[in-house]
Amino acid sequence: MDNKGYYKKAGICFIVMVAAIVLLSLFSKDRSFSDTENRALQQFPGFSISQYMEGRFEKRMESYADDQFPGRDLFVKIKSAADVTAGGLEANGVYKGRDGYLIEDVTKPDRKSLSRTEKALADFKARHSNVDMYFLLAPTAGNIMSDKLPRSVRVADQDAYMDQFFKSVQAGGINTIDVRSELRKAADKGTQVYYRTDHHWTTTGAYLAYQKAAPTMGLTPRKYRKAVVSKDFRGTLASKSGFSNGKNDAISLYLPDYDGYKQSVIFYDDTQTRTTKFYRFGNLKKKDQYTVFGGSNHPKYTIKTPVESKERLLIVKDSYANCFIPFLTQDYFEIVVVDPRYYFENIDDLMDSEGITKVLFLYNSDTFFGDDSLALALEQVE
Amino acid sequence: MNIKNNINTKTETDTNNTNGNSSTVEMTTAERGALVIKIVLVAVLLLFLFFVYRGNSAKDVPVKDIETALVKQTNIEKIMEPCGDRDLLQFMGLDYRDYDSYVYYKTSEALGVDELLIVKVKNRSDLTGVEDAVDKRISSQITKFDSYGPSQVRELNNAIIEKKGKYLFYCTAKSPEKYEEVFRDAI
Amino acid sequence: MLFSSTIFIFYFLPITLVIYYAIPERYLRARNGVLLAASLIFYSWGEPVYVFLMIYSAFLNYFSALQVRREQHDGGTGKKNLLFAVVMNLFILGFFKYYGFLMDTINDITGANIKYTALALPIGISFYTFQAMSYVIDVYRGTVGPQKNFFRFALYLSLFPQLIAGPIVRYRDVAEELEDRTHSLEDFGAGSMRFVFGLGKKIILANNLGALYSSITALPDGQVSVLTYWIGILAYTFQIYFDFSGYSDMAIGLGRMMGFHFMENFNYPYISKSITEFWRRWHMSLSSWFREYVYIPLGGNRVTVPRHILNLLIVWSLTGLWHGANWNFIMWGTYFGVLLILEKYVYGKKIEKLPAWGQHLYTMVIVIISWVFFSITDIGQALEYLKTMFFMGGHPVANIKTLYFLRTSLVLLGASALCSTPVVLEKFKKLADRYPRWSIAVMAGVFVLSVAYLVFGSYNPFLYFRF
Repeated sequence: MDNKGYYKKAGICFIVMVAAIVLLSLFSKDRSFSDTENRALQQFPGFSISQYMEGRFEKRMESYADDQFPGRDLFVKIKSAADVTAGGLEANGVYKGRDGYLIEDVTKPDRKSLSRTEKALADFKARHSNVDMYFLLAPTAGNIMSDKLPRSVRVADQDAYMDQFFKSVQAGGINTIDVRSELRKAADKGTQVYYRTDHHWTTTGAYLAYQKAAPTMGLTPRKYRKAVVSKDFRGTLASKSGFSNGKNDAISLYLPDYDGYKQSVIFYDDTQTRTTKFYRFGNLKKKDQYTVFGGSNHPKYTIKTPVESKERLLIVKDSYANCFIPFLTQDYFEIVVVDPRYYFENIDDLMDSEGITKVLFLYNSDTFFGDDSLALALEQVE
Repeated sequence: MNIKNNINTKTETDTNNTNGNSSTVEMTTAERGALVIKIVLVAVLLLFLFFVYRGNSAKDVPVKDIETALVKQTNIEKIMEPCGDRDLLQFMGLDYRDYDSYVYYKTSEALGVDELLIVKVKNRSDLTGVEDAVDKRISSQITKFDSYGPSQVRELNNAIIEKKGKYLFYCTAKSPEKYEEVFRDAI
Repeated sequence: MLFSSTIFIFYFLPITLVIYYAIPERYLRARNGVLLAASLIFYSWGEPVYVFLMIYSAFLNYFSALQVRREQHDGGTGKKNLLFAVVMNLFILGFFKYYGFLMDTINDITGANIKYTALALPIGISFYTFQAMSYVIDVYRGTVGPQKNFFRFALYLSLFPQLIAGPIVRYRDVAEELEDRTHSLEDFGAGSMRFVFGLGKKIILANNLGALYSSITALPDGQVSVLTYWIGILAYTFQIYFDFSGYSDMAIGLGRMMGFHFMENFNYPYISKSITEFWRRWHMSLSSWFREYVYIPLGGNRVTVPRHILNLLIVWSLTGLWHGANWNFIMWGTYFGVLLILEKYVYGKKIEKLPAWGQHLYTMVIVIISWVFFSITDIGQALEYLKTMFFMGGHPVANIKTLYFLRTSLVLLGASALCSTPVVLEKFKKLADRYPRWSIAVMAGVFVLSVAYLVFGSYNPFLYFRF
């Protein structure tokens, strides 16, 4: 090791490695969006003396260097592989479970935010006492599939949080829909109710939840049959953790298995477009195949179906509802779907203007307990 | 560099002129020059420290007090209304839970751009994020009013953004300095 | 700017090196100029305002050293100017680093509640202030002549490899190389190898150990166990070593890439057989600074025994204080001072008679305990942590979380222990002799893995929103 030639080689190796990255960065175009991370990537920041003095230019430049790093996704894979080799079981809040399952850690509710939300719900019901309201809070894989977690991992007790929340919501006059035992039973039998690589429930899980929800909501559950539309889905948890779990997910649609199905017309407020298709098959070619269910990130859209029922349903939801809503179209003349993270109009006014007769809240526990947007949306503005 | 050379040449001429007597009472020119430099050094340091300290310090005033001062000392209530968490999220893109506290006022006019935001952060490093959000707000507002609202665009371009201690102050208005003064006095 | 960042490794460093080496070797002054400009940019990147403070400090000390020499030339001792420099340097350091601590202590003692604004600490101020003082004192002592060229002195002080986190380079150690140094591909290669392994220590080992320690200290009380806390403090013990020594490695490597030869800062401290030996292997540039500029002027050990003990206590509490402006750091330093005194005067000989493993155990337990006080600023909490470690905290010996941490960090801890010994380097040298290409592949692998962890650090999936 003491001979000169050796160190010369080392020096050349170093220069080559650094130069390779530098040249790759220079000659590759800046990416504006990362599919795997679902966020916009930092572009080259403009320079100004004042921004430099404040340190803002430096921060942006560093983000730029990181975000535009060539082969970013490859390096993330290398890191995950190294972690797993060293015994790592978790990355970015996602556990590498058994049987190919990636399971997200259970979100603990923030006491203050949760109380605020519970009060907002109770007040909202009080303002519309003659409208039946339902709350379907779905459990997540960290709860139902906890037996797939690595043996040494224990997550927080989501059941306890859910029990407490259901109690408070019922006290406020809203009917609760608890699908935990149904999902658990199905999972025990081997039915896949959660995706292995994504934080959503499968359409099968949604279908089971629908069958539990229907009677509570005064509906007769209809029959649907399963149709697989994709076999190579890799979802949010694979991206978030960087883990490769060896198994892709399949996405299924549930199509009506009865006569007299009436087509719906869906109208999106933000894009002002109309369609009759629930499913966006083009999205199966994209990275986030879950968007085949449409309805993501729209503040509000309306579904009108020419059925006999005169009920008008308002659904306040997160993305778990996207594969659930198609089951409800035949029982409501109009369904208004609102996502409080993007919808900033007054929901009370919406109730009046659309003549809403029933309200369904559909959330998954992790998103719901981690987020304040429902409270903000329901609170009355003076 | 140059200063040293001056000292050298000075002593050279000195020894030529005087009787070379550097008594204990009188300093040589070299020593006098050095003393001047030392005084300047101390003064520069104190000045620098003074400005750095001033720029960083802010009284730990609750944001509510600043709001009360604003209401009392200006006509803010005539032009803008107080806004809540949802508005903070909707218009400024900021999650109220990330920060210690805030005051957000916005005009109720449909075509108005007047607004005032004071955010007190938990950590100084959070100020950059708030400032970025404000920048984004101003530029998206300017884009919105670009072709048909010259007076609005003018107001937006003259918006005041100021950071002091753990506070960020942002205001778009016809005369934002009035509010800025109250803010400055309060902290 | 940090060495362990994409902006440094793939933007700043290549640009600086290319410009530096584009200038022909005979124009060393121009190369120095490039280095000075780069160092100022490097520092201003992290401290756009306080870069002026550093430039000020450079001028202050440059000027003072010249004055000291002039004063001595005119028949004086130079003490007046030395005093001026030392007082000014300590005042600057005190103002930024210890003002808050001073005010807190006053408030606690007097019960007053004087409000003050704590200023952010300018990066590297502890390092460059000590380097500057070492320079002026050396000039005063006649150990080295003053640097007449301001830019060359500014280069010494601001040299970006060691500006932010040491090693504390004495002026006399680089004085010659500032004016005349050789460059070669071998030096560059040796330097880059050093840099890469330092980078690996920091990113692959230290950062992950730090994450482990953080998860453990964040555990709610109900999940804590004795073994878990031992794993935690072990993680911290390794983390601080690899963090610090990794950074020193990178500094030494970077210096070598440009023809500078800095002194070593760490020499496998965790294989020490006594605390005395530990401090001859840990952060050597700091302990030798204190020895040379505080301990020896106080009389060192050429005094009566009580005075010697006092000297040691003063030096070590100051060493603690240098590390941080808080009582726990002073405690940490004094703790070592007391142990050194005990080893010197009470049981040092007895320790030497123990079997080797006994000496290692004794040293490591003492060191690990010391890190509890170093890592936890609140002394009450530190004591709670210690109590738990020694079965007095009312916590179970182990629980399911212990199993989780063992399962997920055994490899990391094992690798850390191995890399704390000279064994790894010896094996690597053997590999380099027999299969040089493979050993360079190892270096490349460390680099690629480090970059992978770096990139993941900025990996920020945003699943639900798209603002």
